[in-house]
Amino acid sequence: MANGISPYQVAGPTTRLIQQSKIKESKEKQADVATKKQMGEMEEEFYADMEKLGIKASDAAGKYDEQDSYLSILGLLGNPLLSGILGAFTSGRKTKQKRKAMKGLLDIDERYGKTFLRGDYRDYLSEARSMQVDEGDIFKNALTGGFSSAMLSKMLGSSRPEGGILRKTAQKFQDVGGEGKWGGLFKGVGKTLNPFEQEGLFQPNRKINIPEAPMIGPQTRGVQFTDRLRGLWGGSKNLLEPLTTGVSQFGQQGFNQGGKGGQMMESLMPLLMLLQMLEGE
Amino acid sequence: MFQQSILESLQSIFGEMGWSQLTSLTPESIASGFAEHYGLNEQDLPPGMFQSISPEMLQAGSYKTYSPQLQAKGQSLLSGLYGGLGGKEATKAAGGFAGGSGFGRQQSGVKDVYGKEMAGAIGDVGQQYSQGLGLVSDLVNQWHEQAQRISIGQG
Repeated sequence: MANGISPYQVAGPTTRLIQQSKIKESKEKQADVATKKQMGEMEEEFYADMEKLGIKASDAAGKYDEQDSYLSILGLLGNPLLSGILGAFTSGRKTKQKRKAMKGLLDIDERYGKTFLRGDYRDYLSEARSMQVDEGDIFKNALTGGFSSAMLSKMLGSSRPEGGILRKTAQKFQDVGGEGKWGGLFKGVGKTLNPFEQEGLFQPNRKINIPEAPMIGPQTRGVQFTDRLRGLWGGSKNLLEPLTTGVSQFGQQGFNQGGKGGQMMESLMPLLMLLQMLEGE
Repeated sequence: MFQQSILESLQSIFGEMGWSQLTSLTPESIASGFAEHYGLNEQDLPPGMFQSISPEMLQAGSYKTYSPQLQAKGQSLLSGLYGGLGGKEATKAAGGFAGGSGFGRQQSGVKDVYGKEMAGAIGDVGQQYSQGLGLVSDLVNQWHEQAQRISIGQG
């Protein structure tokens, strides 16, 4: 050009501006794709974490299921006291395990709560919190499980001379065995139940070798007994206070009315001790 | 002015910085700065998400990039202006008398032509400069938008 400035020099900035516009468009697209990819990955990771925690909790909650089933069956065939203890133990342990497992559900990474996943994160946490098991439930369920197992065992005849449903059923099956259409089947069932009968599992008040609780004895009868029972649960949860008071009062009345309740309390003491052990497990 | 507003939008994240320092922002530093600003975990804003500003792009947003254009145009117009004000046309219009009304109209017309063309040239350069700044501004806005999408899920 006449003024000494090259036309390329003049047109250069415009050309570069057009180039940079195209580059910027490309960069924007790349950034957009990268952001969407990142959001997708975070979502995947979040749901995978939730699933993992759910599976872990479910596995942990059912850790003793098989063992507990055998223990429950064993308990039902024996003395009501054994039944009660095993029932309490399995129910208490199950609830404790569930509590531990459900606690694990809360271990979700809190960083999700700061991202676009916060809605799902809060829903999950709220659900997980609602599934938490109260510590008092361990003892409540253990007691309930213990009592119901003892009752069921009693119903099945473990404490009556003539035997209960199980013994009678075994006998009946053996009696009708060989007759009629169902004879073979009945005989088979009768045979299956027979060894239990021979082993004396249906005998009333079968002795079970359980170490005697240290506070059981004459000195526990009377006013001291209530105090000792309270002491046994000293420092436990509020839930247990009315429960133990109720049990103590029941036992107290029993002593006053001829000792029958006292015998029951003696039976209950190992159960209560077992529950205390569960607390410290 | 526009440059200043871009820098101000980054000030709360990276502190005081000059225009030329924009190219020193790497994807890593952008990711880290925006994660902190939006209260996110660095893991959630990987550097790969961010596009940095290249020196060429920054140059497109500098006024001095376009000054040769303006200078060239100005010089070209200036020679025309000189010719118009003192050349044959001016002599003819003056009719031998520089103080005549014909001469005055001619001189004014020449100046108008020069002024309009120069204004047009300045406008063109200004437009390009503004587009160049827009490139930088768009990228910076996109950084904010990306972090916001991860943080609150917009877009």
